[in-house]
Amino acid sequence: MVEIDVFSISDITERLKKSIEIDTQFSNIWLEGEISSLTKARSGHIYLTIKDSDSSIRCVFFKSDNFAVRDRIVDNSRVLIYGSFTLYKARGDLQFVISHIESGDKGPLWAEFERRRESLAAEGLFDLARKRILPKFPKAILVVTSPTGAVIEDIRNIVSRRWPLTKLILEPTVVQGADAAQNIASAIRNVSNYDGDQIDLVIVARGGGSVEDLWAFNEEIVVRSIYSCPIPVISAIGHETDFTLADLVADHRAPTPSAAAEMAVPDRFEVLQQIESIVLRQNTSMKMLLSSLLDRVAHFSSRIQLKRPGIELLQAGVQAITDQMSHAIRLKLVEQSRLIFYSEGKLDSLSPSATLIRGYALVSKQDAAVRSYKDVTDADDVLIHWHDGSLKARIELTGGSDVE
Amino acid sequence: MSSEQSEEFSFENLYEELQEIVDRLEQGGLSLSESLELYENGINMATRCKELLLQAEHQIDELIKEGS
Repeated sequence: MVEIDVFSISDITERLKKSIEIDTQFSNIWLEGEISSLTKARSGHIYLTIKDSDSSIRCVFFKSDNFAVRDRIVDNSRVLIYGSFTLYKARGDLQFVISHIESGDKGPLWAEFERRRESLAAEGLFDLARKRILPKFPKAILVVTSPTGAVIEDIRNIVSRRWPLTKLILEPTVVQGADAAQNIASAIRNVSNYDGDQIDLVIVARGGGSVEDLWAFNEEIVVRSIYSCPIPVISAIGHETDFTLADLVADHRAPTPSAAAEMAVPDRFEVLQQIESIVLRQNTSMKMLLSSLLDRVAHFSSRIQLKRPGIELLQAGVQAITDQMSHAIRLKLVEQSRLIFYSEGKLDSLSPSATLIRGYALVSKQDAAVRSYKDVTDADDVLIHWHDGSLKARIELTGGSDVE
Repeated sequence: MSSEQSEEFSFENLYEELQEIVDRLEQGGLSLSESLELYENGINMATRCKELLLQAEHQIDELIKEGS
């Protein structure tokens, strides 16, 4: 009987794992290839395959190592990765554990990009000092992009949701190919043809693509057209990892076209809240002023009473005026803050004038609304308001009151 | 709000004016009538600002309907 070694699966995978991990040929090495089958798991770990034309290797990039670059890892990109091989025992799979990743997109275009960047930077085109502040509430935005595709749709949706007061004007251009640079540059220069539209912001945008696809935005003619644009420019070219010379010269760079739209306009609900808080501040200041004035009047009238007890009548008169003033102002405060808070569509249906048009009339006495039959007595002078005018009238009681 | 008024006053102008008004009111040192006048102006500005924003919503809604 021949003795043969029989390994359990666990034993043999453990041995394989150890022999791989111990071998310095397979540890702490750089690999170059293209990312595919990228999965960013909810756990924070990233799984991907790195491949060239003939072979592929499964890789894992653990959360603890990837957090700083997580968003910049994209499928189909060329990368340099650093790490070590191991064996994933549960499946017996060979696995490369990544500890560091770098963009591998440094082909011949890279050198040309660097050359142009340096020469334009030396001319001062990218100086931070000349970056302009974006308008807080843009009146009209010129969007230089392709008329077809998702970019203009995304921008339109976001702007109309956040800030519908802004007018969006599309300046269509091709964004790729031999004529793209010329086209983009003249589209940006066209901003001066819209004098009547009060354009106060330009967005130059393009969706994602390869370095070659985005190359038009590295052409000098495009860079210079942005540089000499009289209006602030936001650039949004490709994805967050893409950097073009257009991005460097623009006043602001947005990582994506959608982000450019969010950067361009405020959120109207936030602004509505700001307005409401301003209204509250106004009311508070006003109330404080009124109560301090009323305190002073009350103080004076009590001093008058102390010094000249015979003058109660005058004191009562002052008190009446004070009460009336405070009442009228309080009514005004209430009415006006109500007006503000009901303006959202309900304004018309709740305003007194709309009610009057429906056939109601309003009775006022000494500039205050008469809210109850108790507010008037016989022979009181009142004003009756209809929607189309008012009449002075005098109350003449002709019978008992009809109290509900 | 008539369209003439919304053309005359851009949102930005109205909003800036509103902020100036509330700043002046908070600084104090004004007479009652000055304060009341400012206050009334402020309320009008705020109402117009809100109307501009909410009106614009309807316009966009209509544009979207027409477009679809």
